[in-house]
Amino acid sequence: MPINLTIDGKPVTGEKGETVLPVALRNGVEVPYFCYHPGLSLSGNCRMCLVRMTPPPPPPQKPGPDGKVPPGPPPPRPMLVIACMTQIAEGMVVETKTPDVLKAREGVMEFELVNHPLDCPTCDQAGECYLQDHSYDHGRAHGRMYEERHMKHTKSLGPNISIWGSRCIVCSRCVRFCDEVSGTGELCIVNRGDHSVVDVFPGHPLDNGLSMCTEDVCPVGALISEDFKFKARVWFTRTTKTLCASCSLGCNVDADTMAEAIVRVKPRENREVNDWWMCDQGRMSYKQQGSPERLVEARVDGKTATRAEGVKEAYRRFAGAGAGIAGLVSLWNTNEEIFLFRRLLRVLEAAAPAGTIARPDAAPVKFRAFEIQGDRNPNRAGARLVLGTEVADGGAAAVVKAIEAGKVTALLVVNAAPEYAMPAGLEAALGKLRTLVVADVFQGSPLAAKAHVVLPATLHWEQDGTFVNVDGRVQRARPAVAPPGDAAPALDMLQEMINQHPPGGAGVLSGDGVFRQLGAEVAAFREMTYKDLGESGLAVRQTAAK
Amino acid sequence: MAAYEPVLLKYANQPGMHTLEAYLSHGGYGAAKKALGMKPVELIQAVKDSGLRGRGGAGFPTGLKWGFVPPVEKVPGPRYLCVNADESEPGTFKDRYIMEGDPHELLEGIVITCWAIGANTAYIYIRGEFVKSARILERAVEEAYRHGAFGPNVLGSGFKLECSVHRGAGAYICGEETGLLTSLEGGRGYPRIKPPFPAVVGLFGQPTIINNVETIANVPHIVERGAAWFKSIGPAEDPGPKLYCISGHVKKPGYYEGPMGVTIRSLIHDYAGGMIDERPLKAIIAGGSSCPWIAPDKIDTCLGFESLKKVKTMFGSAGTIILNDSVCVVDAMWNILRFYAHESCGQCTPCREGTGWLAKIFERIELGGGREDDIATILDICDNMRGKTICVLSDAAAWPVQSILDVKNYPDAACFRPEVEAHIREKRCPMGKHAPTRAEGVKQHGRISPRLVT
Repeated sequence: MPINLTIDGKPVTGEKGETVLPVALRNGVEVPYFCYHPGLSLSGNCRMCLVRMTPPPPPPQKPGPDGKVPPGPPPPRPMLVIACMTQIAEGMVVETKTPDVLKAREGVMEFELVNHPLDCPTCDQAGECYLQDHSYDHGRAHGRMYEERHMKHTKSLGPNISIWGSRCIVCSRCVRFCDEVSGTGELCIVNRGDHSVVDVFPGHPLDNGLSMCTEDVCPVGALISEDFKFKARVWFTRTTKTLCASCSLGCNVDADTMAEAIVRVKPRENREVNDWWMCDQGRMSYKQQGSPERLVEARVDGKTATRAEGVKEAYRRFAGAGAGIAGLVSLWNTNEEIFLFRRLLRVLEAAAPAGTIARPDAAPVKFRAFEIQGDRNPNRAGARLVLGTEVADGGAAAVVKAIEAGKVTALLVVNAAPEYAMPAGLEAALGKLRTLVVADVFQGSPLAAKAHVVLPATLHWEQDGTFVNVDGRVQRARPAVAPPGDAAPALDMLQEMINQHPPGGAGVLSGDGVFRQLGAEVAAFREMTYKDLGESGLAVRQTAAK
Repeated sequence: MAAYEPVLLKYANQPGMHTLEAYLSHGGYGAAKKALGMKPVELIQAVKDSGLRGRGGAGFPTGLKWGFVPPVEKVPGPRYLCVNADESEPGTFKDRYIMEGDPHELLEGIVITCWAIGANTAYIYIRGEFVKSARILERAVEEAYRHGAFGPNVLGSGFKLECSVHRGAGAYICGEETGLLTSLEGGRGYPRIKPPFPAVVGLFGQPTIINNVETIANVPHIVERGAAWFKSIGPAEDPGPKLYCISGHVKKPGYYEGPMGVTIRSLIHDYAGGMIDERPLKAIIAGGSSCPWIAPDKIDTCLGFESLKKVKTMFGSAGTIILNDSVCVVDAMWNILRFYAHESCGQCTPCREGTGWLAKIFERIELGGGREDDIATILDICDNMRGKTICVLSDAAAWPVQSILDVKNYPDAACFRPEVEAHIREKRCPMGKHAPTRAEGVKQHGRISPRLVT
């Protein structure tokens, strides 16, 4: 049953057990905070979210036996409480802009800065710092602190995270993260009073697989990611809402770019998928994007060619190959690409089978409230939906068998995986092929090395497209940076090949255009557009269209 | 000084009283036997009727607190008794003498209290520095187990009770009841947000009663001699025997037992032998370092929870500190604030930063760096610290400071502000307490000297 209360004179409702802060935020009332985090337990120590709360009035007194109403308890008096830990109650009145609240906030804000080094010009958090924001909105214009400030330690806590202790406001978010989400408990607070600071135990560095999330939850610049340290001022970066492809979970991420290069990746909230977290491995996977090992130009029979020439040549060779064509697509390609791959094989009237290539699985890594999936491919579920489970899971073996039997003489490989396992027997069978066309992303790809036509393709950081994660959620990746060199998404190259087939195609559709076509053919994506997917995706359609 | 027969420390000063044998020779554990024959509700009612108020500082009615434990039907599972022996308020040293002099009195009180609240486990959380007390207490607990006062069958009644002594690691904040619980559970001694109160959600999430040592030590006497007897001692609103701690510039500082409601004058002159060298009284800190100060003209105030409230201070844990005219107000306050800055747990922002900041400002004023706007800043800091944190350590640090500077709200301590103003005006300590050489000494001892702002 919803609970009705008033915040700043506005009637709002919340659920039983909710506290004032999330209800206020949901209703557009700004309440500043440091230590509150929706994904962590409540701590209530920063005292920034103090609001004026008047408890609900007591129920009216029942008349006594003499018919008189006895004098009830005095009406409740308003008091300052922390919004993050005060449970809402029917009839409660909350005010967030009264003079006493503003003064309390100003006071807390001033205390936070008493021993703060005010080193914003060299702090990586500057521009996205709660202290800066709240100081600007709620702080005093002039300091009254004439004393010397304490310095606290600056040290490395683990391979990926360092602490600038003097900036620490001891909100304990990172400590709670390590206790509650990663469950590894490396962090603790040492010392007392204004010498309190976050630290690790000697010999137990912060090295769990989620350690860099501590930097995300840090509201100030105390915990700093070694990877992002001194790399960019955040106001020069541009953020793209995209996905991580490192495992089948499909964590929603923000990719921050500067000068056409990704400078960091941070998890983006999606309570259906990754909550607020992601693993360090996935976070660092952006480094593949800018790798000098990337494939950036097309090659025909070992000679450099333009991409257009490569695409043309690839089609020409397939068109002359007759029915002996097969195809392999990676589980890193988007649904749209897998769909176009399927269409191209149909257009070429390939009688032989199709299959998939994938990055080998690893052991799943379980944390207290997060799991890195064992399937290290972002789109196995999507490939199963588009190609059918049989093709997606067992197709590669059939392809190898067909090559060995001499039924297939031309093979199309569309790959977007930085690394993949060669299907058993394929390496030996390659010699039987007359045509091998490989769209690939890295120079070191063993298939690209043997290909007659190599096409430079893109990683998911550079293109539009959708993946289906392990839980059957369709999510959209967006291009954060432009593809390197002559590389282009397989999405475009596959359409260009299809367009060459008589009677000739109409043009190259965007990802959304292909996705709509996919929706028309595959029931799982029925009536979906990129707009519908929004920022957090949609579950695949369970029932077939009527 | 009217004739008063000691209750709590009647036998404590006799040699060997810490042994079970001596305790039994004075009829020890008789009250426990009597209590185990009573119903828990009767016991709680008896303590309510006696008017016993918690001796730890807040003066909360003990019987009322016991009554807050929810019935087992409502909240199943174990109940706990935690005895707060983390006596660390500067100026207070009374519990220590109960534990060292007459530990079985406390243990008997524990048996009775546990029976009243239905607890089968009791923890005595003792301050880490009380090594001697802890040893004596541990031996007494062992003896009590052997005597059958603890164990599966307490004094033949069938009631099961386990008791253990837990030594703290020397943090003041672990004397705060919820900080004590967190520490006892093995965590960092951080106080918890109330509500829920420990009587409902306490140790290991179960209903828990936390009582001061002296409070518990009173319980056997109430059971033995009745609530009416207890009420007849001292003033009607806070009755009972009381241990007073008096320190500072008196001839015989120490702990004294008397009835509640002894006047400060009587405590100084009748108990503590008067002022050292007969020098004039300058300031009274009535109940421990966190209490607002009062001026010497309040010397005839009775020491009691209610009477001290009238002069805007508190009885706290009865640690009366007497300062004579040799004391510099700013220096003394700096000393107090250093303590709170050192002992703040660091959890809540206003306390973590405010205590340290206040200490630094007082240091600067004392060493001659006072600024015109300091008093206004200090009062504003105190206002921002008070009532804005999880526990009251922040308030405890702000109270004494406010009392000497906020003349409007603390008229009973108005005499101290001019001295602070003089420090600021003259840019030195008028009493000559801290010459620059001393400031150098402070620096050499590793403390940061203030940046003197002129």
